[in-house]
Amino acid sequence: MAVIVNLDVMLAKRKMSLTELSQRVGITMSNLSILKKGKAKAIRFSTLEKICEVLECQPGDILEFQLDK
Amino acid sequence: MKTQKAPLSIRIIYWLTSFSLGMLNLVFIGAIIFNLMVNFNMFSNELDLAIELPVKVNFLEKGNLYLNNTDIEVELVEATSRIQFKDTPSFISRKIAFALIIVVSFGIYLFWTFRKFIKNVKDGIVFTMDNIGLLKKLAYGIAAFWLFSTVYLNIVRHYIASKLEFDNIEITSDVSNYSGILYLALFIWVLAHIFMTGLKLQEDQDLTI
Repeated sequence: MAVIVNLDVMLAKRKMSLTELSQRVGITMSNLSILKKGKAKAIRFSTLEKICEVLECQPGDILEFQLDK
Repeated sequence: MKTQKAPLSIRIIYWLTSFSLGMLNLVFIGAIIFNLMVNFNMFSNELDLAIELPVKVNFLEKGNLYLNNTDIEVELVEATSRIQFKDTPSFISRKIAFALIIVVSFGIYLFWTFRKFIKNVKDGIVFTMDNIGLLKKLAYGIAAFWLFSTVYLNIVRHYIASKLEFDNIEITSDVSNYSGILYLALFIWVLAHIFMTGLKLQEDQDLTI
């Protein structure tokens, strides 16, 4: 997949667990897990907004584009 | 994945299908018993079995049609028919009994498959590989039934209709066909592919966070 999700990096920087993020954002653990593992096909702006708000970061801190070789 | 209660129309279709399947199961039991009795010669030659003739018959019969207060002269020129054997020979009885088992078995398989599909839809389980598989099985089954019917029709035409002789009736070589059944099979096959697209869309939706 060309778009990489660096959620675990931000969680480590903010010293937050996935469970706490899930509770504060209002998304299920399974969905966050899908996102963290890079298995999600798409992310809604509303979800991205909530994650960025809780982690106090920019979308670019969570999403990274890598060209497939 | 259960959602809200299914629409009444879907539930009615499910109940009707379940009822038809139950009736077919009873017919199947009767067909088995009939087969055994025919094979053990329990009827000897006393059966008067009838079969549909897959050809049209030509004859000239004058009559009247009463419509809109008017008496209209008409002629009856063509009709479909069935023939009834008097004291059916045992070799024909066995073939008819065997064909009955095949037809009823097909019917049970098709109704069972369709009922399983409708039950999934009724329970809110729509776009799944299971349902796609069921639709494909239905398409194959209906296509096989069409093939069997076509072969059967041609056998009856060749072995019976072409050897019939009546004084005032002409048996045509115009064979009826069940092409509508084949089109139904093709439609269900296309429906299976539509469901495959639906499944992909659902997976994309499920993986949208």
